[in-house]
Amino acid sequence: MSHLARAACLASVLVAAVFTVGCAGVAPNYAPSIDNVQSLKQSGAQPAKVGAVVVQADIPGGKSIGLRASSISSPVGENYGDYIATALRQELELAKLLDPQSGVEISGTLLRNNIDAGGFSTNSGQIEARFLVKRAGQLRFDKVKRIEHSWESSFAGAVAIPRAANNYPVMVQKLIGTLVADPDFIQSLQK
Amino acid sequence: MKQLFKLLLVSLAGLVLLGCAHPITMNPDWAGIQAKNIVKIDRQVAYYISDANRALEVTTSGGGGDMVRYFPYRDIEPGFYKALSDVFRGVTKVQNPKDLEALRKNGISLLITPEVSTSSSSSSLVTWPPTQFTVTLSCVVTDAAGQTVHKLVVTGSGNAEFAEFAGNHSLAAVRASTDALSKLLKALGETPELRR
Repeated sequence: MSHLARAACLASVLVAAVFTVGCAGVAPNYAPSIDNVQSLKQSGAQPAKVGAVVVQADIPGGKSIGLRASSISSPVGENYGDYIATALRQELELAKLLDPQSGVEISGTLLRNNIDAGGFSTNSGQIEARFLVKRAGQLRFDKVKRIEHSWESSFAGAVAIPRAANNYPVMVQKLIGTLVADPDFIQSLQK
Repeated sequence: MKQLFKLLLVSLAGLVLLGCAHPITMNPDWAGIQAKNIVKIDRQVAYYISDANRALEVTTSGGGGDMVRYFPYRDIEPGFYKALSDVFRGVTKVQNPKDLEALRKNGISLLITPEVSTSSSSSSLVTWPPTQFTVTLSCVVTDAAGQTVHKLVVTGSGNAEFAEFAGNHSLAAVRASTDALSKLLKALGETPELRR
């Protein structure tokens, strides 16, 4: 092999290393948004329990989100539906509105869960979920919420991949933010 | 042509091997911040974190000559809120700590202002995630008149070995922030000055 060919080969290995840095990990723990919590506290909502957020069958990103050659799975439960349910519980708990014995139940279905981590300058993610609120078994709220979130990225996978993973909790904060800001959702939690 | 490849190789090697600042988070483990045997303090409190601190990104040491970067105030705030709400009757955040009149109107009897400092290091020469991490929370508690009631300092530490952090590069930081908030919760509950 000529010097030139060897150099080209080594260069492509280094490019791959910079770009991919592949391994499987977990998403960061959810961190509740204090703005969401304050909104919930001031909303006049009654305490509720959080049921299951199921993942729609076969959606990519339900169990594991691909980030270049890496992937991240939920640090809680079996899938990202469990992550969102846990996030909802944490927000309600901080707002003192979580009551596992409540007759009001929030549940949902995760419809889309995606991060595009391939960009060199910007990356983005999308979540879409259907949320239901039932009071004593009766449906009070049924809407689909979706968010799009973008952030600065990098050519280097060692920076771009963790940054993409670190933005997942922010995406979930935004998703819950759209729910909390919906007057119909708040009304469904009121008496 | 050869020179061009050499230059490319050196640049890429630099990118791979030299001082990157890897983003991590300090989001604590919620299950680790639980009030145990704490008699709640029947007071409405507020806390203040400036927007500048929330946006503050710090860079500290990782392993292999690399650095890690993170947002200490932004990541610690929800856990801090939880610790306060587990100890006090009510918690709110304020935008202006000098507006004592607004504090009094809202029935807030104590204002808590945290300062977060961190450090990290790694015993590894080849992997970048920190194996040791510390978080120090210093809280100044003032009353509705703006007088200092108490100062409190707790330090949490977290360690993570390679086998553990392979799937979670932030593990030592997560453990340290969880430990610091757990200690803060205990210290607040055991401070008699805050019950007077």
